[in-house]
Amino acid sequence: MATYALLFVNDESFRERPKDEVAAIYAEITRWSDDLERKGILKRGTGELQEKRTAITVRRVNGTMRVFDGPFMESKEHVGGIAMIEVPDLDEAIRIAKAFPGNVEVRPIVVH
Amino acid sequence: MAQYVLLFLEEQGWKDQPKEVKAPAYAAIGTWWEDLSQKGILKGGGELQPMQTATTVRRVNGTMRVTEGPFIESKEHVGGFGMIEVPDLDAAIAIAKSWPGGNVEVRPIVVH
Repeated sequence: MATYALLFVNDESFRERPKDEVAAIYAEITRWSDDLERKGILKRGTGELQEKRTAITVRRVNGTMRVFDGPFMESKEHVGGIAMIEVPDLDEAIRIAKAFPGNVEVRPIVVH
Repeated sequence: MAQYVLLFLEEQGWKDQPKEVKAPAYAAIGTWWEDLSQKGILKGGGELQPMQTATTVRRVNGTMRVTEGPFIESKEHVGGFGMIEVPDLDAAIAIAKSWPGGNVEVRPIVVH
């Protein structure tokens, strides 16, 4: 078995859609995650992040850590959530990512 | 208590550095990780394999397309993450500042 991180990527435009559409998306996400949880595929350290505007970035500048408002990178798309899954291989990780109602970056986890 | 995600940022090429450079950094990170886990602050997370191992799954005209690479090409990208439980944002920032690895984005988790 191997562990993969799923980075859910979005541009937050879905939040401006009509309420019932947003509710339908969340319902689909809940079904997706409940199913994976039941199967023991979804691991600890999973969650939805608050909007990009809530981000704070701490950067090492000349040896001291300085605090800045905003995400580490200004871009249309950003990480909106994270999940960790345990599956046999990358193909299975991709299959699970495809079943998520949105865009996903799949990255293997380093084994220490 | 509130939950925050720390996105540990990694510059392209970090993993190609010589062992002598990486070993002390990983040792410091290992100590940090163990300490916060023992205190019950760190709830999960992990180190991601380098950017070039990323696969991105995107919904294009209703079908899910698989492409190689991260969702965005940039000098800095998410290299790992940790989920922490602390009283407030100030405490989360203090922990981010103590991260021995580099720059960190701090984001609150959505409570459902």
